[in-house]
Amino acid sequence: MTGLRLSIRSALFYWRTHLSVLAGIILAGAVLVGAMLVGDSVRYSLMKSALLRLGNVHYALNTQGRFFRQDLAERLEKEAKTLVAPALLLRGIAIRQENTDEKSRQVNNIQVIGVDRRFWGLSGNSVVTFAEDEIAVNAKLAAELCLKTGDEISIRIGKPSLLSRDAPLSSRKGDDTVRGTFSIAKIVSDGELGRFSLTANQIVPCNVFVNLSWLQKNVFLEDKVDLLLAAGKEDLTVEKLNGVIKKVWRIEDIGLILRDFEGRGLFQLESERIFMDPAITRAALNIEKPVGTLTYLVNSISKEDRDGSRRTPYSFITALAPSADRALGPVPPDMTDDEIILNRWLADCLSARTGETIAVSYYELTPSNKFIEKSRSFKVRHILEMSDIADEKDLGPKFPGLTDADRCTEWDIGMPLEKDKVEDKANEAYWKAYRATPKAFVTLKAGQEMWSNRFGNLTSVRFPVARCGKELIVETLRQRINPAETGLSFAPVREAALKAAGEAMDFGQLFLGMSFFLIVAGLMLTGLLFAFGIQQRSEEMGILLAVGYRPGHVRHLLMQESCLLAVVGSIAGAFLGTLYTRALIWGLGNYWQGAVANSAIQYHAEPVTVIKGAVMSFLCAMFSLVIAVRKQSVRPARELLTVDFSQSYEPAGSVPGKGRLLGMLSLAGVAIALGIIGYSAMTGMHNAVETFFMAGTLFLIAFLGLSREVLVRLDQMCRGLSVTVLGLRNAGRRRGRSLTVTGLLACGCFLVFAVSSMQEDIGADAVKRSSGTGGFALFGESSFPIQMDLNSVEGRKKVKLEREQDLKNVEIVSLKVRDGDDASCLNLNRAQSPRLIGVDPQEFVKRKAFMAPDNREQNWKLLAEQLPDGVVPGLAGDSNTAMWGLKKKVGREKGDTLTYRDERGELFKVKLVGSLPMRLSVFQGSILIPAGSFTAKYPSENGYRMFLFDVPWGTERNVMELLAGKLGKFGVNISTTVERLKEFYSVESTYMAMFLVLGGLGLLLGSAGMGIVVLRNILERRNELALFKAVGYSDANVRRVVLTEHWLILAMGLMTGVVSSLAAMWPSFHAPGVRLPYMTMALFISGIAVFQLLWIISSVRIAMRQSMISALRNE
Amino acid sequence: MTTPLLVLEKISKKYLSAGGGLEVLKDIDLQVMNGQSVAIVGPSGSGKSTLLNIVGTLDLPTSGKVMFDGQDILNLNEKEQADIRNRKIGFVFQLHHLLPQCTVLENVLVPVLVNEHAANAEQRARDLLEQVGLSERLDYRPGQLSGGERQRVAVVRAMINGPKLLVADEPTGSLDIAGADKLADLLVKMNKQHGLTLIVVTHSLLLAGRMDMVYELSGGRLVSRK
Repeated sequence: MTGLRLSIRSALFYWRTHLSVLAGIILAGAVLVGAMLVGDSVRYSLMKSALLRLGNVHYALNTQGRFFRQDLAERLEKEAKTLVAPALLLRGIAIRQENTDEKSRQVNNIQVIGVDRRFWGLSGNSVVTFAEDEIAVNAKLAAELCLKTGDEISIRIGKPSLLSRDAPLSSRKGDDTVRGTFSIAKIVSDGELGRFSLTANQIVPCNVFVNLSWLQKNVFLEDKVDLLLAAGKEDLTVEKLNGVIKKVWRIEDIGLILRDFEGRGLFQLESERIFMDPAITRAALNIEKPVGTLTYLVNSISKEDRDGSRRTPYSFITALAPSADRALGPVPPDMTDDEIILNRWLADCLSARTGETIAVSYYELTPSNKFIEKSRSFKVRHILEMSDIADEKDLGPKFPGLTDADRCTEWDIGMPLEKDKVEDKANEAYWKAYRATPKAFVTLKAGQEMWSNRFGNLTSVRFPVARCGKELIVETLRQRINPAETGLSFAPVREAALKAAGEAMDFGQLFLGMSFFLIVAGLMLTGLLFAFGIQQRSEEMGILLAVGYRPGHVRHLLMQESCLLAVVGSIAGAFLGTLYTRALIWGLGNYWQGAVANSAIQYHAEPVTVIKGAVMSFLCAMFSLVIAVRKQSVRPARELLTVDFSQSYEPAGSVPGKGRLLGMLSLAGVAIALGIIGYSAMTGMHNAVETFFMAGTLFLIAFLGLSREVLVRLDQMCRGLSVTVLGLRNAGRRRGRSLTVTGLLACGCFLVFAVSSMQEDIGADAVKRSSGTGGFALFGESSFPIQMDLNSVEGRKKVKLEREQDLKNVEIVSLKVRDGDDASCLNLNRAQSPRLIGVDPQEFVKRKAFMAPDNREQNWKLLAEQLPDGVVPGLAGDSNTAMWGLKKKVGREKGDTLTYRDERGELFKVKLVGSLPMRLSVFQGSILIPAGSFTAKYPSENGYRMFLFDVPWGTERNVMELLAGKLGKFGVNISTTVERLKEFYSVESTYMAMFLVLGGLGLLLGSAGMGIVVLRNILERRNELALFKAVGYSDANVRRVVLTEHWLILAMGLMTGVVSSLAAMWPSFHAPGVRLPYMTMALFISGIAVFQLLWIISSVRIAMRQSMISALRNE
Repeated sequence: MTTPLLVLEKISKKYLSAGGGLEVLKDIDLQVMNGQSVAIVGPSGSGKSTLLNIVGTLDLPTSGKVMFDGQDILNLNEKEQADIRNRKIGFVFQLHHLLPQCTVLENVLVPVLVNEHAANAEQRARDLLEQVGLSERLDYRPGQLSGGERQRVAVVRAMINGPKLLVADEPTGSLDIAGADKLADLLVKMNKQHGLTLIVVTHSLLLAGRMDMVYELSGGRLVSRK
């Protein structure tokens, strides 16, 4: 016989007792392991999703709206010796015409990807081939439009432009889309890159794959792409790949053209984008004796004199750097910035002579795309004959829609043009004779002061032939321009995707948190049941001590036994945990889809996690068992052998000092909690979460401490004797048990009620400007940018909305969008580079929208701050975005910064100076930056793609229907702001629903614990009940004694839970949309009460059904 | 002592067991007069306690009739039987069954709690406790008393509602000789001074010898020995 053998024997002998203990350990272990495995499964699913969307794509060069030559891919592939696929990634709309008499079905905001054979090579699967009139769609789009191979659909594609449509003199036509009808050649599966996307999001996009050359031809971007995808290869890094770009790139790749005017003695560097990027300007102006030029169309050139005013409308003026080399331009070195050179035609038109003053009025483009007319006066330096500047006619920039128009009246530019001035006959005659020949010349400095804009401050650079050869210029430019600064830079997208998935919300922790109470309840019950078992064996322990065992030996034996139980329980729990995980994943797929944003989660278990979970549950079980063993094994042998613990009674105040201290600490806890709540109420804290947890937890602990005091002092408190008092005093007999059950019930109630009270009615305060809707009724996002101002008559006319009466009182706030990762709760991945929204804070300040009622934070003011080192101030879309989506700090001083790459490839920082003051807003998942900074960093992001509609409440449905119809061709998705908030809130409310289920299970377990204690108490005291019967108590009287005792425990548990949750939630009841969960509370409380009543009655019946006589005769 | 307080007529008790029925009591007839003291002796398992519990309405016979104080108590409902136990019959068991959370005085008063007719119960409890020598222990808890003292408290508890019959099931079984003697004295005193009818089931021939009548229960039959 060894100690271990004795322990095993004991474990087997007391198997009935241990079975319930084992059940507790298995339950806690299963919940713990299950929760951790949910984390594994979500992580695995996100990783899988990330790899599916990228296939073998490791690096991507994505210029997002800037275009470069496709053959760069071939050069890169040759040099880097890895597959490089070019692609054109545009936004579009997919339309399926059902039948002639039926409405068509439309899916907005799809990705239209122009690809060739190389793209499919990146999937590692078969090559998808299709003709020019065919397309392939991914499974998601096929499902949404019910498509199958051979079906026909129409695709409307946004037609990009090399020169941003926001740029001055750029065309701003209303409809910049192209539509084509195609037959579906293939439904591309997930394994064939059907889910291709570059954003870190598990939500599958709707993809259409079209023939690259067809797409290029139809959007007038022949041989141009905006995306290069490179396959991974051993020893290939993003640095190496970007190094290869430097080696093989050509200036043509980025749209630079060096025009040869050798006969005139100059080369002119031009850009297909008209305005030159700063990186190009810097490099070009460092080459020998260059002359920078900036040509602009001014509104008018006029002269005031005694005879009145003379003017000519809409004229080109070229600003040139002064140069002694006449071949480079007519501006001499000594010309000052307040001088102007006129051509003969203009001088005659204005009757202007040298020395006279003329005025030039022109439009300045504001960051919010408005044109402001400005004027500047110049002194005429001299007049050039038309023959002297004949060469300038074809040296000017080629503005599409302007310089290629035959007549002035055919001009198509974004600037507002006055009809009568455009029709000016003299000007028309000039256009016919001299086209875009500048009517005047100013110094480059003066020109840049007037017409510099975010797109650039030069339209060309002229080089003298005499000083440098063409090859030298090209090579020098190649050497001096960093291609990355023009957007040609690869990013390690696969690494970023895996990082985003790896840093995704830890569902393991989330479920552990949600199951925490369930685990604790399981462990507390385990400890309780084990303690019961040990108490039953106190005689055995006493005998062991009596025969010479030291207390340590006895403890060791019991610990061995506990260990055996914990090992078996943990292993079984881990196994059961895998089943529990499957159940949770099933729940996530069927009932709690909102929690994972409707993503499919696959079961996956890492062996390490299972082992880790089993070890953790073993340790937790041991902890609860050790406490039970320790308490019992410290008693002396005599006591263990003689005292019946079921009859023991610890008088009040047996440890007076300790009791008083506990009582005082409990009261102090209540006082501090009240203080926190009071402070919260006085300071009007908006976010009550921290307050709630601090105050609530304090209340709970303090009330439990006070409950202990009540139990200790019951016999002092319950003076006199009655049947009720008898019951009340009984509650204090087994304080440990009573407190365990009280604690379980209190914690369960606290968590369940508190969580259910967090359920908000999101739409409750939607009309308020301070709410997450900003008081706007509708929210819209378009697939294609809308150029026009939808508030203006002109703008509305272009989309045929000018006569709509319903829109009379509707104002629209248009916002610019730079696509990025979604940092909202709908994205399970950690957003690496969140979407940017360019906003004009004044639009919101004037409406007091998205501002706290007292505007304490002054959030919009923060966007106006000038930060050092070019850092851009940014506001998180709401506090949840900062806290959960980004996990970043916000604040003027301590706000975190996010690094972005602007469209020219330069890195810049956005500092989170604050967030919108509400927990949830329509901007969730995005970062708001000032429109000025936005357009400076992303000048090519033309037009607006996000809209807030300030609609009179009550008419929003009509307006929504109207707008959806009229703006349908822009692929606008319009929803009410409340619906948008509800979509975000669905994640949170699903978490709460899950928590309620898991917390409810915990509460049920706590309630079952109470039941076990009741049964145990009653069975232990059967003789006492029998005595009551013997001395003449009726069954009803006996029940009354038992009920009083257990109702007290129940009431203390429920009261503690309810009061602490209510008190702690008090501040949040004042928050908008938060409602007290009367129904849930009533249901839970009455459910538990009824359950306990039935349990007590049944227990009494069970106990009394057995022979009373034997109870009286045997202890 | 002329009128019978308790009359048992043809009381039988049969237990069902795996090997068939076990009849522990066979057609028992017994008459106990007012103020009489009766001892029932017999070997363990002979059915003494069963008979006592039938007398005290804690158990039911398989057949037979129990007339107590002129009433057929087996035909009473649960509440009426509880009333009889509360006011007319006092119980003393081998183990005291005192409530640990109550003081000596409170334990004595436990039966009073369900007796609507009790008056001056506390004074009566104090008097009785004084009579049994426990006036100094009124506020003690059972855990602070000796075995004999606890058993005396149990006797006083049985007496508190002024019962007509006191039934004691091996009251000295768990006491030492001195304690047993003291308790026997107390029971006899109650019988003599208060005119209390007493039925005692005991193995102690000494205690049995101090009773008016002694019956032996053996083989299910009750035979008079004294």
